[in-house]
Amino acid sequence: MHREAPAANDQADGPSGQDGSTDGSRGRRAAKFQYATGDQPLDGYTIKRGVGRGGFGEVYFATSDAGKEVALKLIRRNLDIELRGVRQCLNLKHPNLVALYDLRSDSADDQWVVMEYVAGESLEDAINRSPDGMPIEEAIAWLRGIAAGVGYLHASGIVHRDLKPANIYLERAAGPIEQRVKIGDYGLSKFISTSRRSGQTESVGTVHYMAPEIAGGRYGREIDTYALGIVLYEMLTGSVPFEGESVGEVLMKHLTAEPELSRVGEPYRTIVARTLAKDPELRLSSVEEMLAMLPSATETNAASAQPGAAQGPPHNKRSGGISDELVYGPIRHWVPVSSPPHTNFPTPQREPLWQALVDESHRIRSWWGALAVPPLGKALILFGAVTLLVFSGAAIALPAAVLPFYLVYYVIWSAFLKESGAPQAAASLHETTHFDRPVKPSAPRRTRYNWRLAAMQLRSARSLRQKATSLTGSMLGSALVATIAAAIAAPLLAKGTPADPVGLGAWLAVMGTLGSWGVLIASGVAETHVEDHLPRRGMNLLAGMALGAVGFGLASFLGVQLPYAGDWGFSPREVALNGFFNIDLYSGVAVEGHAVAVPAVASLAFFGGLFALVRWWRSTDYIRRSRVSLWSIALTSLGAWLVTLVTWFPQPTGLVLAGMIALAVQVSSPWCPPSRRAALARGEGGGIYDA
Amino acid sequence: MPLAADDKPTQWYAASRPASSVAEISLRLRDTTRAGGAPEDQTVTGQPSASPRRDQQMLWVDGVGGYLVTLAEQLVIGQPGIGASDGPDLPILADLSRRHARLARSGGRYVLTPYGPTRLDGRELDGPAVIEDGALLEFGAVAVRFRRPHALSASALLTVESGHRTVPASDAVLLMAESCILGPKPHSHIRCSDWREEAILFRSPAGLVCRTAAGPVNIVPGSRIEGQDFAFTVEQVLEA
Repeated sequence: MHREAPAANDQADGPSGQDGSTDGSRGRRAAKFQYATGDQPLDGYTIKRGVGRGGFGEVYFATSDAGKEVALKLIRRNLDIELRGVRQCLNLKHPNLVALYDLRSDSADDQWVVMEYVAGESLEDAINRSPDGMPIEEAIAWLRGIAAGVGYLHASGIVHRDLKPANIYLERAAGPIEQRVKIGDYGLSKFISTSRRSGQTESVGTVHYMAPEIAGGRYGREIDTYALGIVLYEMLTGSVPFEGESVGEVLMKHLTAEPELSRVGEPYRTIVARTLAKDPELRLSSVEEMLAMLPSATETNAASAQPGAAQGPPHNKRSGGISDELVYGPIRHWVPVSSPPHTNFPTPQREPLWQALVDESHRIRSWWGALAVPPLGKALILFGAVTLLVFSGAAIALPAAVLPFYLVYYVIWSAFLKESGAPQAAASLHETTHFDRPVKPSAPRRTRYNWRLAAMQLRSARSLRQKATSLTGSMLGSALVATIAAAIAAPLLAKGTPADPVGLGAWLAVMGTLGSWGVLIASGVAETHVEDHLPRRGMNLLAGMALGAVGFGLASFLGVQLPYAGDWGFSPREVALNGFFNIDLYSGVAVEGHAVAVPAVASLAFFGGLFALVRWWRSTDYIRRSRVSLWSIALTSLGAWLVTLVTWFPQPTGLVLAGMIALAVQVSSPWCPPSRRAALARGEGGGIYDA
Repeated sequence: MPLAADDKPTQWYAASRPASSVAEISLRLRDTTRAGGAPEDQTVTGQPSASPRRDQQMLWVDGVGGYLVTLAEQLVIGQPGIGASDGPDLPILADLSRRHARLARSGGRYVLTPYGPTRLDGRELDGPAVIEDGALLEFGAVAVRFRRPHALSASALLTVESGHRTVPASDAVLLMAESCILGPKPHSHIRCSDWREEAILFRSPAGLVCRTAAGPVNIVPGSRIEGQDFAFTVEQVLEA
């Protein structure tokens, strides 16, 4: 929506009668009205002339049969939003509000709002008259009037939602009555209390005055202070801070762009900056705060200042040779506070080597894109390179050589070198609030806190000693659980097979213990540091392979053969490893008799695969849904079975072992109980805003 | 055209009067002005209330405002009277005399004759004075701005700047000479910033005529003129 340039401002001191009394929307080409002079669409009122056209309907000047002058606003059927708003405001009384008299419907079922007729110019006209900004005294007089009206609306629990210069009028002085600012079109407003902050989907208001959070469907009273800030900026400079060729461009600027504040002198710069903060939580939320920031009446010489009074030569103090500091006191320090709420999240710290690799790949990609080679040539080069990599074995050898080193490095980096991420995020959350927010006059708003975030922050805030203590406790617990589970499981597994139940029990107990320890340690290191799956899986893979090695060694040491059930589907030679890659891990091992000594490589492969496949950290998660989840244990066992499809392992022994590890881990890992969650959600223990 | 002897003045302003009557009125007024008598001296006896006020009409311009258009050569400004007969031509709801001042157009100039305390541009006025574009006329607490926006037209505009109400209420009073302009340009008598074209009102032997880009249209009271992006209505002023 491009604003039309004011038509011919050369007659700045034109007769005020000619601008007409405007009650709707001037500046729009809206001269076609449905009703003409003399029509009586509403019983008892005679239309005199059309006044303007708002977003919701035509406005007429009319007189009642007895001669009372009123403005009639025609609202078409099925505009329930508007009507609801009008009904709520029908009995509001304030000298700075356009009074609403009645709401009537005519024979055609159209609704009419009968309201006070305001003779005088609109703020839009006044702004158009001063394209370089109106004198400060005049602007302040406007602002005080608007703020008084809006403050009353807010005190009545109503948000105007459509504040703009075209809706604000200056009633002409009549004899001893001084001229007065009148705010109209507050029919759009809604009760703060009854409106869910995100109930409506349609956009309201004029796009130049629209606060960014409206995009998110939030209609707090802060949208009025935002609009007021835009209006103040426009009064002082003559143009709105965010202009654009299209609605979308303006909206985008509201969301992201910083206003050009150098055109506004202090202290108004601070006021504008704080009312135009993108985040409604950081914005000046009440007009009282805004008024309190204005220089006192004596400073602005408000006694002589009435809006419109300064139509003569503008006696602008800014150009008077006196510095702002002398006139308005010391310039307050202002730090840009506003950034769109959705960009306020701290970016997680990246591992430097990986980041370097990513940057390098970006560089290569852009170089490749800019390379002056025809597309066919590029395709050939690419094909050649890929073929070379695949056939030379470099595609496998290179990552295989580098990856283990990198994984070890990553574990060390994330555990020791990286600065802990969560406290940093919290710090940046608080650092934006560097002014004291006065207490809002209304009841404290219920803020929902993100308990998950809070819980994770609390956990990562523990000292290393606390972490170690907690880990040790968990490890002891898991060892106990694993031993008990092994004692129960071993006789059942060994039944009907040549396996030795005692040796099997010992093997299961040790494996279960070590396996759960591996999971606990890996999760303890990664928790609150690592958000990606991949590094966690890598660490688990290492842990799993270590467990596999131990399992093989232990089985050899104890002389245990692992039992398996014959009807579990697969034989060692039928799995994927054999079928596709023709690798037989069980060559030379007797797998008859339902008990087998698993070879080292098979053990390594099975446990490595099992640990890499299953998301074990879910079982140790502090904020997992329940302490022990049978579902999760079943899933882990399923994972063990899936791994068997690739590399054979005696089942159900492996399956049971996987379930045992999951159970031991879940029972022993600390867990955030529901009562604690509720406390965190209420914001106890340093609440974190729901992001 | 001299008046016919059997013409009763009350009938001229009947609702169904012919389109030419406005011209007749103005001609009659011009005659009377030439004769030197003030219009208010020509009061018709027995005129009923709620009758049309002589040669005044309301011009309701959609989206712009309501204007009291007077075709008379001169106009007495004062407090509204009780009945229809004793009021001034331009009643203002204020602490004024019934006949506070007289504004007359002669030879393309406007002369203000004070009957009550009157100031012109801040100076106390003790006799008739010629007023120019932009003058501020003050009758007690009432401040009226006088404008003649178009150099080639003798029509002028009176705006009550002190906020007092005229009767009937209007945004400004248009003293129409031969023609007046409604349009977006600064020299328009009635400034309609949102219009793209101009509309010119002028007197013709057949009555008031409105000329727009589409051509001339005769105006009778109650007629509505609609253009591409504007509309206005001329309404007869009834004596309250």
